[in-house]
Amino acid sequence: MLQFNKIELEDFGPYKGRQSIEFPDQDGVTIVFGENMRGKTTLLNAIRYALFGKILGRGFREISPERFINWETKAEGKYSFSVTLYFEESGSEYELVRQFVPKDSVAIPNEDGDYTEEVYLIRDDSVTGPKERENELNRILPQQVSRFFLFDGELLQQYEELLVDESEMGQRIREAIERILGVPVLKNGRADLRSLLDEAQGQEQKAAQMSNQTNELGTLLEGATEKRNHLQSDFIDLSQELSDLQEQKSAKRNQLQQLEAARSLVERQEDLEGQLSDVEDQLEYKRDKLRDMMQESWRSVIQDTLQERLDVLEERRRELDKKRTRISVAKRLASRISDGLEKNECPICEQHLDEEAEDHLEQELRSFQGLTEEDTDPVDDYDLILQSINVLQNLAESNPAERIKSTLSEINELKAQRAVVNDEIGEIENSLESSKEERVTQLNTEYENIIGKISERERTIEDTESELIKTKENIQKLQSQLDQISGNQLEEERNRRELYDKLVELFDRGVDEYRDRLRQRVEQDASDIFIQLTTEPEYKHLQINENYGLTIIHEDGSEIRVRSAGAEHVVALALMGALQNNAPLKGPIIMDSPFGRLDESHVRNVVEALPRLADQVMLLVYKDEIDPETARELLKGKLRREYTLDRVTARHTNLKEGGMIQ
Amino acid sequence: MSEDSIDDLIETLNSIRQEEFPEIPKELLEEIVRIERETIDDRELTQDRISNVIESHLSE
Repeated sequence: MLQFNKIELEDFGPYKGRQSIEFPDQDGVTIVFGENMRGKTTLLNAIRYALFGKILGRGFREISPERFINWETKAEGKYSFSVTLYFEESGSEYELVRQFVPKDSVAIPNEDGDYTEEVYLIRDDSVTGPKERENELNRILPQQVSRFFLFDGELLQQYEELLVDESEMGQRIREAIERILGVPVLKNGRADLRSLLDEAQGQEQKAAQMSNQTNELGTLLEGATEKRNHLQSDFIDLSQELSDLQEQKSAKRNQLQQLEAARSLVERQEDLEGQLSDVEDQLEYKRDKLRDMMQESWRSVIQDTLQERLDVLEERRRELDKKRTRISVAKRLASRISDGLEKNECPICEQHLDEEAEDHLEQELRSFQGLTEEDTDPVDDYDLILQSINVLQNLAESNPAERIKSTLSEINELKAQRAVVNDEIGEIENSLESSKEERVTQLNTEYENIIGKISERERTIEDTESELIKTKENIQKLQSQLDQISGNQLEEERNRRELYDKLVELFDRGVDEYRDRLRQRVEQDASDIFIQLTTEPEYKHLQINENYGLTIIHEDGSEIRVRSAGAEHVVALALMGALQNNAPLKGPIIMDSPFGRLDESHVRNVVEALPRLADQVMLLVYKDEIDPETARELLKGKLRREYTLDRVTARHTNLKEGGMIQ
Repeated sequence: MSEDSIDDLIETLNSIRQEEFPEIPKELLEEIVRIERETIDDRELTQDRISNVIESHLSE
């Protein structure tokens, strides 16, 4: 069992100078009380850094260690930090030192590349070599299972994924769970025995080829085995590629989720750029139109003169119209009077004309004849005026001034639209400056490419698997034919191969059976812990699925399908405790602010149950999560040590042994 | 992984062995599990060690 003895930090994050936390020898809980921004998460990261050389931020993003050099120390000209973890495991004592220092060639480091990491692992007073160190650390606490030892509220939320069958995250957590439970020992054993079985088959085939009787079968078997080996190797490579791609996909998705806000801004920006392009097109069209109109714009200069002339001509036309009417009437009257005088009768009443009436009509006739001779050529004049009016009206109607004015107004409106769109694009560009819009676009492209590759690999894997099954069936057929024939050398090889065959089958079944047993135990232990943690008396137990996901079962036997965030949290903690109980690999649990989603009653239950989760538990909390007095009362003798994070400056925290005073 | 903790694994394998493959000695299984427990990522070394155990069993 892994047990922490002490962690020592030097200039790591806000911990200026050399500071340490000593873990008590006895089983129980250590609590570190600290307000927000004092360095609770940094303590969790210090342990993570010592063990795995990684520092994680929100969303499990890796953070450059350079950012964790104490700011004040850096300002004083010291550019390094170190973390030393003292622990024991299987009877050996270890001292693990990991320090982040500037490279020898660099006087004043400016970027990550200017630093180097130095790691030492001392086991029982002997310094281990790099390879041995790596193997030892991987054996003692593999990084893949670190989630069960070092966690916070954010990590606890991920356990909900175990209830989603096809979830990639759930798949990864399931693998980590199986790893902590020791399943890989059996899986690796099965894989190693399979490889050795392949070799034994090869030896048997060679032995068969030595005899005339079995030569042909041996050769066929050798060919089939070679084909199977190729297919198996392809299958393993492809599966590994698929797994890598799925991991890449998951990583890209995480990055994309982090940049989700930025991505939606980029989408908006793309939309705005489309709008801008439309506005520009319209502007260009209007400007072309305006250019054409401007070529005719001289007309607007003569518009007033044109109108004046038109008015004169219209006046003249009206006068001529009147005159023409007058002449026409005079002509008709003159003609009738002339006829009447000829016949000596009145042109209206047709009575005989006396002398006086005859004189009067002759006078009238002369007057009308005078009118008809007034304008000798009115028709020609009238037509000329009409033509002129027509021409001038055409010129006046095609006056571009109004159209130019209207087009200019449209152009101005488009310009205003363009300015609004440009403003919004500018704002988005500013917002995106830190999130790098090219990165979002690039990530999207990469994500799509990965998805394409995944479906391609899945198809190839399916084909390879089906071909592999056929080849294995063929090998089995040939093998059973060969088994009918005996021979000394062949007999020996056959015995070896048969033993491997049986061992493979035994381990194969062992994996399934061990998993089933583990699931039953995890379900039982998680249920026990859950009942202790939950405040709902009608919840009876938890039910485990194939992925180690846990469902709450009501006392009436039904599943609680929708559960609160707090309930999820409690279920995740119950799973943690159950895994610790059943894992061959046991160690301390470090929990950073894990009560965010829990109400007071649940917090009390969880605190009370902490000693059940692991032998060594370190809780990093702020006093609003659990006040020191309550923690002492609930944990009683199991609260072994208390530390407080004391603020010196915004960039300097001191670790002080002893609890917070209420 | 501690010594005690592999008991579960061995017990699981042994119960199958007793029912299905009694001709395989329990010690052989235990030895294979111990080899697997001791080696982490070196498959070649693990397979060599298992092969040696099997050969020694076959030659008995």
